[in-house]
Amino acid sequence: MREFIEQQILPKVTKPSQYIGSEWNMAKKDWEKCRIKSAFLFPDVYEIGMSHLGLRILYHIVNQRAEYLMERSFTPMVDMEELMRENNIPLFSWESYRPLKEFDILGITLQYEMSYTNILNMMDLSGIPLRSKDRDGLFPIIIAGGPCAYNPEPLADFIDLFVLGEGEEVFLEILDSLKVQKNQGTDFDKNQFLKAAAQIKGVYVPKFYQPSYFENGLLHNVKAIEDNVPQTVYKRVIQNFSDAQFPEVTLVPFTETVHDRVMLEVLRGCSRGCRFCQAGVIYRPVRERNMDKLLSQAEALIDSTGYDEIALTSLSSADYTCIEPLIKKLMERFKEKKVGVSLPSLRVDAFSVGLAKEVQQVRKSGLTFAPEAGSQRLRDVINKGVTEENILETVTAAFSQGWTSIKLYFMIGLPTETYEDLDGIVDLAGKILSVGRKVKPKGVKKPISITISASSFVPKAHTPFQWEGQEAGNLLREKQYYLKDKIRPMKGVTFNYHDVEVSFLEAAFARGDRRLGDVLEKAWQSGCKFDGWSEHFKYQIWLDAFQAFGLDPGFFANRKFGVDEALPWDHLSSGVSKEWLLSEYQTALKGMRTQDCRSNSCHGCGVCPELDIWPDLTEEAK
Amino acid sequence: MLLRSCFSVSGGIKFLSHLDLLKVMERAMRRAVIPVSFSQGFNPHPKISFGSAKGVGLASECEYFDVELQDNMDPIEFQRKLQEKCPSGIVIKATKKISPEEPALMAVINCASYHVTVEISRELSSEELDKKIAELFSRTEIIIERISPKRKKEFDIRPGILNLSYRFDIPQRIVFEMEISMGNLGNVKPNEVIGALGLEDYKILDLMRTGLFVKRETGEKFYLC
Repeated sequence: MREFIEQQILPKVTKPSQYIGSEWNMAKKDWEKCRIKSAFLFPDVYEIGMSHLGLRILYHIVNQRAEYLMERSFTPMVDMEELMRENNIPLFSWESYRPLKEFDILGITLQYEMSYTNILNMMDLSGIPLRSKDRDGLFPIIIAGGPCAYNPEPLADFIDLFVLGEGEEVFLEILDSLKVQKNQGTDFDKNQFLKAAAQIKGVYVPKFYQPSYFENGLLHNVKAIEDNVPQTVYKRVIQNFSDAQFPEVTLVPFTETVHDRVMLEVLRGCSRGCRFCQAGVIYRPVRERNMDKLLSQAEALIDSTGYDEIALTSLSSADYTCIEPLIKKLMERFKEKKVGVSLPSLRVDAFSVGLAKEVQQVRKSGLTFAPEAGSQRLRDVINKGVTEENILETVTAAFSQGWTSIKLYFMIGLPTETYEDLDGIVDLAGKILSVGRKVKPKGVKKPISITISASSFVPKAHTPFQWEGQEAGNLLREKQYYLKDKIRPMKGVTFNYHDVEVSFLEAAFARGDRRLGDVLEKAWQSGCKFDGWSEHFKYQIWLDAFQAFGLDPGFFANRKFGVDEALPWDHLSSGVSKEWLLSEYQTALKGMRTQDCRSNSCHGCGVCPELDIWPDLTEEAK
Repeated sequence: MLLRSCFSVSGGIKFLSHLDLLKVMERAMRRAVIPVSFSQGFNPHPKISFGSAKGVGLASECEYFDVELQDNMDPIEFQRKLQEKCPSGIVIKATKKISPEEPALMAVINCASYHVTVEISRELSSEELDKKIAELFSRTEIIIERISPKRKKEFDIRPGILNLSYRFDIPQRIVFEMEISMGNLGNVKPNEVIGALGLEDYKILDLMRTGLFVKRETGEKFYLC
């Protein structure tokens, strides 16, 4: 099959190199010798999937075990898919070009609601029935994890098992359980396996739970209907994050991917408590990796990959307790080799001149900050404790060190937002521009350029704003035009914004329940895929799909949920209590702040006592 | 010191773009801990330069690169260490030291040879094929249209077709060997040459570059490594 694809198909497609596999450090395991064969499916194209750190971590962990293997698969681009279907080529794994149907278990990562149609498409391309109930023991078990697993109900009819929380330990436990069941002799009993798997902490098997609805369409509850399964499924969290397995030898894609560099995970979780942020809740508590560990990982990864840049990855890398000493040490070790260090999107109040000086020593990568809201009032509502002073200090530091381009992320449609807050964004852009022009060092020729990116707020499950509805699409659009008009005359400032219709559907699926499964299937059947890509997004087909089932997307996306209403994710827990989320919501509406528990007293979110875990910070080097 | 290497590209790796291939080589050299020199300025990059921008999908037996090293290194040692860290599909075939006065690869390479495997729907005899080739060479000009996103341009490929021969693999599969010009003598593409032959209903199955060299006015062929 590989030869046919190489000779007859690849010469005809865009970026054929994305399909060839055989990357440096690819795992080469003996298919026959491995008892359980798994595949990691990323529901988007190769260049995006290969930037996913979770894939690399699980790939490493599973392939370390002699009796297990993990291969990878990605969504083929539209032209490739067409040729595959024409020639009856089923979707295959990148390592061995084996049809996915031949694997024991497929694991899909749920990063983004608009990737769901790609998931169905990949299953269909593999010749695998979409609905769990139509798959017997001869088909692979299909599991899914990642951020969207915290409200997985729209996918409940298609996925056999969801994983909540961090996968390092639980994934192996699932493989162990699968091995036991497969070793039972005769035919593999899928239901027996699912019953056993449901006992594993962090595992949610949707078929053992039944949602019920009131006459008026509101959710009544989601109840366990099988004996011995937990009424509430709690997430998994790694106790000793510092020592958790992390690949020191990792895949080096041939083609340019979104992140062409070594990714070092410096910490997990975040204690800042921004109220819109789901990641901040689901990855609690904050746990840092030991600095020596990071340095030796960096050394090993540069050796094994040949990359020339190290990215310090996490939700908020500049919050890492020893960030400056870490960067200093990395620069010491790698400056000669011309290996640079970069920090992804930074908190404005954690950046500093010291940090700026260190990071720019080899080469400057772009700087990105996320103030999120244009006024202090609104920033307080969302608990983003960043002041205008912080912002201006930070950009002054950056510009005076020679950076000329800065990207700023904002959201529109935040709770309690007014046009005054939007004016704040424009004012800020203006102030930053003039600071930049004032402090730019003489030798720097490039003009100051600022990119303002405004996405539409999508209220997410398990956050204080989970009861809020998304603002109506026409109002969001008006706000986008408003900002566009005000920013247009500003030379050096670019304004980016996202399609309101895509954000609307994202919100519907982020807040939706099991009834959306039918809608999803219909939309895919009618041709929807790559919904996150503007050239492929088909809004009308989505609307038709909702209508076909008598459902209104606005009911899920825009409707404010009552505080006593059952939420489609109440049976799934991040460890943080619903009561605390509600009190945070109420505090938000009063415009009051909640302090970071890292350096202030515990604010009682509940995750530590519930999951028997504590924040783990590294010691400041003496 | 300056080193020049010749390497082959085959298998899936032939689908890499020129830029990708350059990065593959850069990373392989880093993994091999080869002391490559860096350029100055805001964005220092390793001083490696290729002999030609190989098109996506083309397998090749002879690509070239020049690399500047910070420290002296034995060419054999360089080749051995680099090969160890190269992904499969890339074979370093030869390496030699060159002097700093040596002109850049891209400036001197003006000729390339190819093997093109063509499948034809109707069997052709040697006489018929010989006739077609003789006819092609007898023409004083062969104008083809090159369409780019911005415009259409006419180009005469006849002067760039230097040699063309063939052998039959199986009755309906012909392997052509050709020498065509590239670089400052004007670029001719192998599929353009096949197109000019006037074969009815054919398909190019395989395309491989077998040589990159300098053709002097004397007709002498000069290989670089």
